[in-house]
Amino acid sequence: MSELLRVEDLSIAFGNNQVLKGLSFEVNENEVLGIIGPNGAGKTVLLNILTGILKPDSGRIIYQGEDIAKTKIVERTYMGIGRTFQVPRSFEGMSVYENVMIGGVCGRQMTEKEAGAGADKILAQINMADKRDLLAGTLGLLDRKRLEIGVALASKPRLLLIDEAAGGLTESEVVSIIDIVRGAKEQGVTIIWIEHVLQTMIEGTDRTLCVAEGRNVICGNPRDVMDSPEVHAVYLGTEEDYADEGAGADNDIAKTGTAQALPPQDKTLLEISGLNVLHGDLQAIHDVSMRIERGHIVSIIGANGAGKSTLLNTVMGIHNPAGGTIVFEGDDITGKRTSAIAEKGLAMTPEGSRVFADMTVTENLLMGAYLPAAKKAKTEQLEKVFEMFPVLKEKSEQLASFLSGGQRQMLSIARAIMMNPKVVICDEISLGLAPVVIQDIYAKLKELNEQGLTFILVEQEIKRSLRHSDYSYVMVKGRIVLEGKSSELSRSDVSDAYFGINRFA
Amino acid sequence: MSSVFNKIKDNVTEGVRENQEDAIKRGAGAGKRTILIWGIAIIVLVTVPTYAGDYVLNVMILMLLYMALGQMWNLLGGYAGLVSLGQQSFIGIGGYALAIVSQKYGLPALLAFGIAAGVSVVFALVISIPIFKMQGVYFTIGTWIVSECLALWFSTWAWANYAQGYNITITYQMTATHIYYVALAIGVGSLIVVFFILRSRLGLALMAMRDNESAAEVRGVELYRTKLKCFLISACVTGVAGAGIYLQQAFIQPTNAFGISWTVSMVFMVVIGGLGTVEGPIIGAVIYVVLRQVLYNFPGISMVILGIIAIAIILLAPKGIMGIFGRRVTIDIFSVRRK
Ligand SMILES: Nc1ncnc2c1ncn2[C@@H]1O[C@H](COP(=O)(O)OP(=O)(O)OP(=O)(O)O)[C@@H](O)[C@H]1O
Ligand SMILES: [Mg+2]
Repeated sequence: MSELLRVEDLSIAFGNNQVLKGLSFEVNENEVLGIIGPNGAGKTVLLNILTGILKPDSGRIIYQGEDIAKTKIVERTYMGIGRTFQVPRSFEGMSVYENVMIGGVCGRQMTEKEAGAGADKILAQINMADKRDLLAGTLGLLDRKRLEIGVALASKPRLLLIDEAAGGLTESEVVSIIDIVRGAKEQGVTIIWIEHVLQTMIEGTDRTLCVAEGRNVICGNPRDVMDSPEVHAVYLGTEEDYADEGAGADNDIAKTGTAQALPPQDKTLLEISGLNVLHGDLQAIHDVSMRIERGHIVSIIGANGAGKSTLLNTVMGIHNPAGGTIVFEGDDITGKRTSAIAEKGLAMTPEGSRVFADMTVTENLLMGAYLPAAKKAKTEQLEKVFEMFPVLKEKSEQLASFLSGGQRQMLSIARAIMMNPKVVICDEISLGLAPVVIQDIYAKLKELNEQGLTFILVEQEIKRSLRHSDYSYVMVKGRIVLEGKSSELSRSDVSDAYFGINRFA
Repeated sequence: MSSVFNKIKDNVTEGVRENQEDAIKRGAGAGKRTILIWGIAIIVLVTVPTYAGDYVLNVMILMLLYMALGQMWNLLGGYAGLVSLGQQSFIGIGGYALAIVSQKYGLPALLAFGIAAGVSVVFALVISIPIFKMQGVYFTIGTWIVSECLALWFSTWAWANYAQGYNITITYQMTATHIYYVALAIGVGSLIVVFFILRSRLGLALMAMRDNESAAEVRGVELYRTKLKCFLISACVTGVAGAGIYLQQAFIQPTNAFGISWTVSMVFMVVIGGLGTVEGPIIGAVIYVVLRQVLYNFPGISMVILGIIAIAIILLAPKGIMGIFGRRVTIDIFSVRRK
């Protein structure tokens, strides 16, 4: 096999933050190279260097036998380097179809006709043909991520760089992403694939490279890499979430919810009954009822497009329901303004970790503490979140736009906690986080939970979700199809619930 | 300053996005009706002089010329992400081209239009070298400064007759009907230019740039070249429209010709009409010209009233008038959507 890309001794620093320290690796023609590594390891920075957005301080990039250090961004695109963005950068005012056309027309100088024909094929390939004429700006985060792949593929890349496409997807959706990548490989594309979802690395890549502290920790067969002690130390952590597949719900952790101690009428914190939500003519939520108990961790499981974000946004007053009620601590909050709802003590981390990019990390956090109640406790609270996410303390004076994807996710969770809320709603809580950080975050959530904070989590990993929550709801196509105490549900119950509905739909 | 600017830009992109969304929905109703509407519009526009009086004709001339100006500002501000406050440079150049060619040298007016176009493009090309190095709000201010410099220069330039400027006497040899057809050609011409740009590959790149410049670059859009093309096209048509405007006004003077109020009215039209749409500047021009006629009797406060109207529309209909219409009317006369 001949070599397509070689990276030699790449180094880059931002101020005194030395992100890459002599990273070297190579990719062979038609190979899929996976890259894993802790949040902030410099994976996205590496892609930015390869595409010419950032200039390395030292080191060489040899692509097709040529040093491309001086090649401009667009020229690298013309040379066949295509990429996706971790935080999607779709063209929001253009339709999905037009977005994909851009790849061909601008990246490959095709005529509109050629690009159009190609675009339809690609839309079929990425399963977005039904969203062809929607505006990209109206898509949810996960659809946008898939669209990123489509746009990159449309420019007929020789080397495709994927920056996290599988985060937040359910297992079957992850499989479909792996299929898309395999399809590209079959067409002769060489791929570098960054991902925190380990299944993709094991099943979808030929070799996996682990990057940590700016260096190549280990590179080789994906399974060997996952098993190596170095990777466990820097990236995977200790929890056995990934080791034993199919072991069912091992609820070894005894639940000691504070709920039991309270009189029954105070137990219910949030009650949703008969909720219906429409998006235009489309019914996104059908007759959903939920009861969230004080002091519980409740998880909502469901595929991309099941309506989880719509449900949570409706609770937060971002969407108006067409019917049904939402009662929080005995007050009807249905259709109230978001700010009023937040004031009552509901905080949400938005999907896609939206942060105020032009503000520093600390400023972002203080934005979370704008309510009078939170303002008083803000120093205390700030300490608490810094302890929870030490990396945020390190970067407290930096602009949020310079954070890595995972660091942004941490910031958005921390900001919600800064509000000193009664309930924290986390949409896609573990999306884009390194396994070791996920374990950390769950440990911290548990701590906060023991102090009485209630959580509503959207989590894709069924096992992880059952293990860490008191109660679970499974949503399929806008309905609740299964609910129960997490300790009494098994992983197979949950996956059956998915398939059960899918068979009849 | 820069954060305020970003905020405006955010609102602008938001507005554009929503307008585009409506455009897609409206797309379905196009077709035969489009042709019908075009047919009727052209017949009406061509025959106006046969039944309308001079006052109406003069108002129509203004509408057509302002519409052309609005289209060109929209091309920069609504599509290419170039918020310019210096489009009056080209109006002045166009107007002076007419004055100097016809008045100073007594050459045919038609030649003036060609010279207006040519000089505007060359001038745009020259100033693009420094001002394209500036980003965002600096670009905006840069364009304005260029116009102010032109105003000063023309006021002290003997060849342009200093600050006194020129009376353009060929206007008196023409009837309102003549001028109307000139304006009609410019107005319709500007529409055709915009329509073909947006339907071409350049248009696709432009829309991508409008939505996300850095991503567009990674996808293979050459930012500099694409912006420059827009800037030159916009300068060219604005220059021609400037000549048209001074053909009607019959008097040119530097402070007026290079005054920022030209661009203010362009922004007004585009914002109230609907940014990032082809229809927006048309609606905006009609409303603006009518308002100006009405407010003619209140010279002191007319700008205040226009300002209040602009703010009210921005608050009530952030997507401009097209945004309100868009949802109810199912005719897309200027569809630039790819299907
Ligand atoms: N433009 C920049 N200016 C300053 N610091 C930056 C910049 N870009 C990235 N960084 C820093 O470099 C480090 C590496 O960031 P990078 O985005 O590459 O991480 P990553 O490996 O992709 O992590 P994740 O898995 O969370 O996406 C982070 O600490 C980040 O804060
Ligand atoms: Mg990253």
